[in-house]
Amino acid sequence: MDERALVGAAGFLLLFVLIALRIPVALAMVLVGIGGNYALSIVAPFLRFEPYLAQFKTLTWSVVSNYALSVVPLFILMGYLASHANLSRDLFQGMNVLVGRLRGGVAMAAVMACAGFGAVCGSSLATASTMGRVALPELRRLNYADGLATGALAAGGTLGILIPPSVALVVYAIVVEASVVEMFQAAILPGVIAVALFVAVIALRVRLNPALAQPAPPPDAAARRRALRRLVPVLAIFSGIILGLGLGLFTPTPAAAVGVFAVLVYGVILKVRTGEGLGVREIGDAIRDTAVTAGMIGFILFGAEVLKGFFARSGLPATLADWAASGAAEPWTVLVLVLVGLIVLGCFMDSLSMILVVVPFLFPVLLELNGGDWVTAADAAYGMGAEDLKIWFGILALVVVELGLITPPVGLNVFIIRAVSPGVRMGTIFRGVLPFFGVELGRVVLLVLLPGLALWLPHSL
Amino acid sequence: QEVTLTVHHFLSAKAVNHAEMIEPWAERITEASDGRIAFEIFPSMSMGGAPPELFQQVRDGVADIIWTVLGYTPGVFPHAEVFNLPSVHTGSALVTNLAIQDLMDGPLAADFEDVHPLLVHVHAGQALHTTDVAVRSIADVQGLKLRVPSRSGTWMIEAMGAEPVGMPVPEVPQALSQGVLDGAFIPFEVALPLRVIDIAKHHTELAGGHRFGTTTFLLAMNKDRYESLPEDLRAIIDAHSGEALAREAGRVWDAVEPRVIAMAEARGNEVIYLDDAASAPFLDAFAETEARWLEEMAAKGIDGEALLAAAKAAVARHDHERPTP
Amino acid sequence: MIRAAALRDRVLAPLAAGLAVYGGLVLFVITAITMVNVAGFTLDALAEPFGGRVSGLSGYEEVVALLIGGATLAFLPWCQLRRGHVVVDLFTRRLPARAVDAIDRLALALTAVLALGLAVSMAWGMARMRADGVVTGVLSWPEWPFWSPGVVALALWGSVAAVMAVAPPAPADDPAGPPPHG
Ligand code: NA
Ligand code: NA
Repeated sequence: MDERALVGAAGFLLLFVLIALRIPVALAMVLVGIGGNYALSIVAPFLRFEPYLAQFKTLTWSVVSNYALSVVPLFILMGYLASHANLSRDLFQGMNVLVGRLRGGVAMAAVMACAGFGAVCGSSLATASTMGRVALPELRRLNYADGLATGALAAGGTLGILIPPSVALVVYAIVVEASVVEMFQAAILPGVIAVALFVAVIALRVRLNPALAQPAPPPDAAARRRALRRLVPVLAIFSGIILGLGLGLFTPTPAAAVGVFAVLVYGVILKVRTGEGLGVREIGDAIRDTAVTAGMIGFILFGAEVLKGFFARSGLPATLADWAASGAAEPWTVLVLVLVGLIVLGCFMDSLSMILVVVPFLFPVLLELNGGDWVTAADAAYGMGAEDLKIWFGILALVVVELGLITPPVGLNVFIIRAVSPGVRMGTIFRGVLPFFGVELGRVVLLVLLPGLALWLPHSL
Repeated sequence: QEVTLTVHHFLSAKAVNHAEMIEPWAERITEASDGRIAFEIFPSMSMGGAPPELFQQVRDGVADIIWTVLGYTPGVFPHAEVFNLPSVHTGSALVTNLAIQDLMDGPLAADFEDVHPLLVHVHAGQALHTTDVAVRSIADVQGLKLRVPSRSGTWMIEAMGAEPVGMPVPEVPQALSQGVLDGAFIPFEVALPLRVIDIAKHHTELAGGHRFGTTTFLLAMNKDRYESLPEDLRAIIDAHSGEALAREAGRVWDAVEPRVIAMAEARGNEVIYLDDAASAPFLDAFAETEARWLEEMAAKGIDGEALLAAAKAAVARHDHERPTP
Repeated sequence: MIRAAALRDRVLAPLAAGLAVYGGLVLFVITAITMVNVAGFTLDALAEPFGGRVSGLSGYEEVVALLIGGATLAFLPWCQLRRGHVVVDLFTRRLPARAVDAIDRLALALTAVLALGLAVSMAWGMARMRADGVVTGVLSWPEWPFWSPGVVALALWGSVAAVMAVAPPAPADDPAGPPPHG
């Protein structure tokens, strides 16, 4: 490693130190990016610092004024409109009518509602917190064991990021220059498998220990009809968007805009007819919530761009890629190390910043280990071409990053569920989440061994 | 070495411009200067920002040298855009490159006052790549949604009766496969890395070497940085740039195209070469495009007539250097 | 301190909320444009068998890109006010409250410097765009006017962060704790 790469590596470490010290992630990225460029201008004077600063005249605008990224605030707005129109509750109650009478069925309904709502909302933490508030009171009323109830919701929250549309998938696709639609298609099957596994975990646990969940009394016919009537439009909107994207009928931005339109119109109709739904106040709240989340993502994207300029000038990514190309490393060992590292990082960092910080380093390394840009599947270390590697690694990375959210001893989703379930101990939630964590690990292994689970749909559509 | 110059551009390190033009050029200069000038090339916008910012970056010295598309900052290079016009470029990158060099110290100089231009050049020209509709006459393009290559490309598409759709070139393949686009005007050498020859089934070229316009590129150096170099180093850079590099770039780009056409045909795609009669209505549309360009030049207070005449004369003057197929 | 808090609550907060709503309205405008465009494409697909053609909006992508830039920046002041930026607090939970408070104020001060610096830089950039006469590729619209909400938003973001560094607001009133995205 030369001096410049050392500066790059030092910057990388400093970034994590600053983040651990409670400096906002995006700010830390900008500070390290600008400070790092100053340091580079001392070690390598031809990388002049003052002209570098001139870049900021246009950089801010070029980061935010991006057609491909316009899908992000639109999906966020759609999610908050749906949330303020109480569609999350309608989803849960509708699912509950369908499966609630099975043993453990209300928890299964919560997991399925998490998947549906997370699909639209795209953020694990928001899904866990929203569905936690909707479903936990019901689960407790029916005397579900705290561990099962909170564990299912903490784990259910992680489903959203994979099921399209997903903000993290969009950002990953842009970082590695993959097709957003192919990424969405690749995510569908692993997402469905996760839902099935979670439901199976609940079924198995209540079978082994029937005390965990009592069968719920059947709701009366009127309530049943009402719940189903509310469920149909929500399912129609959500599945319309997912199918439209998955089948490639829509490109992402129009799909998101159509989604905003559909939720808005439905919410307003609901308000006019029933008094609950989207009025001026709810729309205002949804916009302000959107501002918080979209502003947060915008700042992180900007930070990532500043950081990228520093790392590229330091030559560190090229150094790592050269090392990978030199044949000094065993491809599968590196992959496993990368995945474990992402789980650990996922314990305390949100998935978006993680993708933006580490994927630009990791992906080129894996690409070189695989055999470079033009390798054929037959000669490739991971048995697939470069385009497939992008998709497969993206799905794997997102799954393990989310796994970090429920990994003991720390996990953001668990903290969130704890915040909305007063009186439940952290240990209870972690014990409740453990079986879900187990099947998630199994899913990672499955995806590693059978890349076809991710690649089959994009290949055949 | 005495100086290290940074080079920034928006394509990958595997692209023709990087591997076959910029890198060999940099090596020649390093060698000619006995290693006193070194280069560090940053592909794929890795120094930060988006492609439209490259020109700004070289003016400010964020990068010492950049390679960009003039059309990424429409309106900034009003004179040089004349070479994008389909009625000017006649299908050989080499010929048009040499024509551009003739005008660099004359009518084009005003566009590049803020930088030290090393090379202004073009690619071999746009072909029309379509998915479902085989374009055999101008009637076939009516109402098709086609991706615009440049601003004058927008006018060209409108004059042909098709519908212009603007999007960054990397999004073209997906838009084609989803029917957002019916076709795209891009050169064959870009159609290859973007996999467009796997998605489009028909490729249309005009008779007599005419093209659906081309794209003008700029390789430029920061002015202060250039002037801060000792005179002998400046001389070495200049000797390897301008006309010398124009020839090299023209040769490289002209040679890529037949390779890609052969690959498209090997995939069972249809490459349609229109005859004179079928080409004629397109040439009429080009004349309309030209008229619209002249209007805009007049509105800007530029003598478009003179510029257009000079550009066409220069292209004609170098026509004998056109590579024989 | 008290005057800073008043400035924060009576002047900056309404301005930030107003800009956020502006950004939200822009998203609705994009939605409306998209619906027209989608309707155009749909009618086009329906009309095609009958030889008809209905066009979408030309320059759609361009307009979306120009609008979304200003909207995203308009969200930043409100995001800052609601402490929306992602923070990892796992490793600092055992620190004394005063130390945490000092770190937060330092981060806010740095954010203020950054945001105001970006506002000034972007204003320069906007002036340069205007002087160069940069226009969009399909519609030939001048670009620079679309930058102006961004410059205003960055300036307000910097002011919000600066005032928050002097007078940090009480933790968000939401009983569930985390900001909407967590
Ligand atoms: Na999602
Ligand atoms: Na964890």
